[in-house]
Amino acid sequence: MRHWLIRLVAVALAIAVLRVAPSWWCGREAGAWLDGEAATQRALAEELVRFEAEDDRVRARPKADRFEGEWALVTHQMTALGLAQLCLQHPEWRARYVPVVTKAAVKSFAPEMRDFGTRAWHGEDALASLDGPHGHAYLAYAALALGMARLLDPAFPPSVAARHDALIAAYERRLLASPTGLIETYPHEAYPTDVAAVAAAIAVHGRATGRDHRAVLARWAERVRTIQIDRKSGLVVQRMGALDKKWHDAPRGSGTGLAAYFAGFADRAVADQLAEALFAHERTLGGFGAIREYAAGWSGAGDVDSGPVLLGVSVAATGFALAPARALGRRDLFTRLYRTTALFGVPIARGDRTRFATGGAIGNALLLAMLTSGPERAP
Amino acid sequence: MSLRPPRRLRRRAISVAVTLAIYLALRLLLGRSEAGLITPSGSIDVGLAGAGAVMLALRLWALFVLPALLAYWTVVALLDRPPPPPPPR
Repeated sequence: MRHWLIRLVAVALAIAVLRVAPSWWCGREAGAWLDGEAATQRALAEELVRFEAEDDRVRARPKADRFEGEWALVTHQMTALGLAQLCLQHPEWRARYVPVVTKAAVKSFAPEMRDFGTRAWHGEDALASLDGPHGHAYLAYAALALGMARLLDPAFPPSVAARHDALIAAYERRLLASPTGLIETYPHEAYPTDVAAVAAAIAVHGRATGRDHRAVLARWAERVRTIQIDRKSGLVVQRMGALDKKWHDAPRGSGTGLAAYFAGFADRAVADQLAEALFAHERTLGGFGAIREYAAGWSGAGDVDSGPVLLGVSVAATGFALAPARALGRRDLFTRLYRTTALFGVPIARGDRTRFATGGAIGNALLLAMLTSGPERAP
Repeated sequence: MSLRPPRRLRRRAISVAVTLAIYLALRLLLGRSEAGLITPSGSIDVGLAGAGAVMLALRLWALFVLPALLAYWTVVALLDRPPPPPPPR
């Protein structure tokens, strides 16, 4: 009898430890990220400064070795955005990080970074077809990074600024002409998330140059609410027809999470609406939180947008939700999401730098932008 | 009376230490890789992904299973001892 009683006590203690220890261990840094603790932010920022410096060295080598394409574009863009957000929060860091912001943003704008889009449009380059009707919305990721660099860098290269102005003017014209508030990323495919990046790029361009883009942003916000959001779940539809509003995919967490982050640059009310819908799709277990990828009634496998989908929750939706959770000061939610991110992202400190081991450079860049979100939001 | 821990306890300690060492080595290996589990081109590096999967499995074991086992073993070791022999008359 005594023997079994002791085992019962042991099992109860083991369950208590199971409930407390892993979530405590994985969430140790959550408060530091949420409160914008300088040492924590700086450690990941320095990892990306190192990555950009290494990338510069590699780019001097033969073309075969270079980091190019869609993932490289997003890596450089998110590096620029994350470091820019840190400069807005800590103005004393500008001298060190603003040159890297500009360098990363300009790299994301290089022709070889957008080859994937040029190929999709049968050889039509986005910047060579600014007067045309095709959306080329993927280049808004670079345009947003350039806008943040222009906002911070008085020495921003004027030649790049002129091309940036021309791209923003084309986006504004296309968006105003669109009955759905959508422009195409690829032929016959519009992604509301990419169009949120277009709106963000336009908004930040206005902040950097003083130009008035309020009309187009108001129109975009109205179309997001009436056309691009699924009324039942509140999530944005992942892919749609730009002209016929036809759904090409489900309402999904990954697209909504990134759209909520981008919308924050342009319109806080839209961003908050998307964020609340996203937060309603959280699943929790033992102090860990993750965001469901598909709205109720839909299902599917993981893809390049979501990353792996396990038990209905996705890596991307969970990671992207960190940004609005931090920006809106949702401490408990942010902590639960961060625990999951740390559990699978595996943060590793090396000297004065930190990196997330499983995500590589793109994971580090995305997490820097998401974990420091807030200062970039529209006034 | 021997001060050496019982053989079963030594076996447990060695297997825990070896598993933790494998986990930490894989963690270090992945921490040094620039690509992470998925390469920049979007394709999967099978070797790295395999090492990453094993590392993540061991991380789950180290963070969830091991602390619970240690708590269980500690309680049993402290409380479930055979009664002391009666004092000599």
